[in-house]
Amino acid sequence: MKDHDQGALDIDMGQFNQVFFEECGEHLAEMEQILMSLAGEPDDEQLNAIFRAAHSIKGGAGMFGFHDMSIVTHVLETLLDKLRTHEMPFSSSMIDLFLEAGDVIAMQLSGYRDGAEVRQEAVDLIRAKLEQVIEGGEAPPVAPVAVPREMTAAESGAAADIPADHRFELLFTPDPDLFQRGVRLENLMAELEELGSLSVQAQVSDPGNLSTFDPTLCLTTWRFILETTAGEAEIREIFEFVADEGQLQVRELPFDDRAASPDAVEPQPGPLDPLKEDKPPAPPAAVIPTAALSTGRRMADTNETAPSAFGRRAGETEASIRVGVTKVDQLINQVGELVITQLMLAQTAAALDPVLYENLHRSLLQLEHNTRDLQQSVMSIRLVPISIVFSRFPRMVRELATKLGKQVELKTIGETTELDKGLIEKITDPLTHLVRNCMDHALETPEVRVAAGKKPVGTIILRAAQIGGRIVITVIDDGAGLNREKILNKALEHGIPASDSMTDEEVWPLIFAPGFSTAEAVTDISGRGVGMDVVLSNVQSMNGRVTISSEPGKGTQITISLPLTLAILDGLSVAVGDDKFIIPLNSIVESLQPTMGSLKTVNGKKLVQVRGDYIPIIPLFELFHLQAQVAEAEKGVLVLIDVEGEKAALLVDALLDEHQVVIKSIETNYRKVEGTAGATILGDGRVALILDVASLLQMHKKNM
Amino acid sequence: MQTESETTQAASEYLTFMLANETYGIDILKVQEIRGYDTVTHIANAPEFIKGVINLRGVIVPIVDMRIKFKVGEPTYHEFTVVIIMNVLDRVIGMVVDGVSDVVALMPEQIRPAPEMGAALDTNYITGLGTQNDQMLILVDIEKLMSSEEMQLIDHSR
Repeated sequence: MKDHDQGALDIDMGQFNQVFFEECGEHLAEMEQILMSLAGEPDDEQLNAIFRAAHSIKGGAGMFGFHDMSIVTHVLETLLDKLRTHEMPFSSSMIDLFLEAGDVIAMQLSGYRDGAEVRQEAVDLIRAKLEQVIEGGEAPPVAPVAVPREMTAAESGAAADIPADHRFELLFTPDPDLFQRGVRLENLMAELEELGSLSVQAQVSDPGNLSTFDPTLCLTTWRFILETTAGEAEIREIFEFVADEGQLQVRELPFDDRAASPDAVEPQPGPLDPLKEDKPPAPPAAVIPTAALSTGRRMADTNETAPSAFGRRAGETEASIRVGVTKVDQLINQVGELVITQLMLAQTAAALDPVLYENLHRSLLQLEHNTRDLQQSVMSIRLVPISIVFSRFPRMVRELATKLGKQVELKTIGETTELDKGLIEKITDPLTHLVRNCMDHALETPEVRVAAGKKPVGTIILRAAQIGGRIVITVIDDGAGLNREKILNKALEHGIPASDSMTDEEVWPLIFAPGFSTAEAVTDISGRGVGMDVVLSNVQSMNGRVTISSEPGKGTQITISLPLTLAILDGLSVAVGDDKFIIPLNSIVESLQPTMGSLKTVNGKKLVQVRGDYIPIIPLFELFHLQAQVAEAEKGVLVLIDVEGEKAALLVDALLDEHQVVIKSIETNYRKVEGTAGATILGDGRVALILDVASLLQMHKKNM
Repeated sequence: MQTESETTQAASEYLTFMLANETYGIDILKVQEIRGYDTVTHIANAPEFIKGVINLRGVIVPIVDMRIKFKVGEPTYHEFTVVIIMNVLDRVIGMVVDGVSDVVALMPEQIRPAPEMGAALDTNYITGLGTQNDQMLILVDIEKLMSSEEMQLIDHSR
């Protein structure tokens, strides 16, 4: 990046570059998302959207002087433009080509942004491939193509590259009101194409009187030539809801092997369809390439609510403004201040006579509503839908499935669930790891699955939902489930305390121990034993929790529960002397007032007996050298905390209130304070420290 | 004073404050605001002169009482106790002093080097002595002082 900047311009250019990098990343993500959502032939809008993304990247790259990026995008753009204008038909192998091109651009992008390595040979290769396609060559084979989308074709017994053994002529004379009924022929053709290679001819059977010609009527007889391994019954099934008795004639033609082979096509590069190498030589003028048909589809397009169409349109009309995160945070801070001011006003006004000052009270009530609404709106600015994370998985699953020889279907539920942008960034890695784990360890190969009486296709479900004040993300698979024996053995091997008497709920979390992996073979996908512990620590750093439930042979469900935002924490405020502290709720087990009988002493250190367990007491006033009102445990309140299985009881004067607090850093203007995780501002405008229970425990041990 | 600062560009402005009957001056550009002393939240296990933190419009700001730090004056807190909020080293820090008196502009020739002496502050942090209307100002490099290890405001271990 620096190479392109000069001297004093460094800083300014850096800012602009940053904007370009962000935008470029978004365009790439959008492109990939559209490509992955293509179920078959892309429609015009999808092609346009991909084209626009490529075009924007190219424009930006050129403007900012990243010329090698603009070279690749230029070739990509040229090809997309040809597709867009139907100069060239679309073929499914292009999806992989485009994905690969996207990867190369992303690589170049990270090369500029993070100084990552850029493999020039990959850049040259993709450029050559793209150019080859543009010049009318075949789409060269790229990364292995398979599951899950292709599965439909594979199941139906005739992927395009399996040699066909039948040749059918279908004559379809539909009712004239076919289009008016909302039937879309291109869908029908797409289905036929899945059976084998298809060519279509339209014969106008009754031209009629042109002056009374109604363009919404279908007066055409369609002649399909289909080369396929499928039988007549399968073909008729496709027409089941479209063609009435007698409207469809199916005739088997003598199968000409030579005509169907790709070599036969090569010498006659038909101007319309140079890419479909498996199509028979066709009478050039009469054949309508299926891609071109979509231009005319508006005539009967009643299906406007197709999810892809809907999504694209929504995306186009929804304008957005790019704003720096610091500005948003500043806004959140200021609104927080406003809320505190409003609370102070309310407290002051509460002392005034409600009758005499009725108007004031009414206005203050209004102010309270307004501030709350404002706070909510402002908080929601930082929220982004989790689909940003989820959208990266279809491709990952698809590629991993190919690599592992497994059949996997990925379902996502609740993609619109919103969470804090900071959380989105942090949750991506743990989720990726969990999904990889599912693919690698949990889901079995198709043979094993069939032997176990399950569907050969495994399912992974990613589900997100907001439950109360938390976001719950669940990764569900229908694989083999966790192996209790294996986990216990492995735990003992690694010196992790475990015993047969542990319940399942106690056994499952063992997989989060560092260095733990039950995979028999270490693969490059997962199994090195780094991962699950990282998942746990990442989630915990966001004040989240992970729970596992699993049933042998049925599958595993891993649930991550996160607070709504990074900036807010559920806490319990406690009093010690004149000071107030916030204890994070997620670390509290319970609170109790101990009886004299339950308090014990070991070497002068106090313990409390709770249901048989002896738990050390940490007097907060002692740890923080404060003047407490109660020094004796039996007069105060004990808050039982749990730090990764280790329990302790904090002695405080009193429990005050439970609230959601905004976390503020003390370190911004001061240094780290031992035993705290930050500070917050209470309703009265005062600062309270948020306790970090793990470090409290450390402090206590040091003092012992 | 006003005319002096307008006629000469080389003059620098100082905020003067009182500490144990001595007048000190700090670079005005480092001062963000001056406010009354508010209730602070104590910080566990912090040195005595760090009174704690306050909420300054949503920002957590540590408050240092110079009177305790340099064992001068009476650390009493009432409605006239003032806190100078400063912007030093990209941080916001509050400093409690006996009183804020004025803003003065000093020409370079009005500033003399400080001899070794027994001021409340270590000579290391004193950039010079200024004279204004027969009054002496002790000019302090507040950035150097606040970032020093003895103030314990910044984590030096990192």
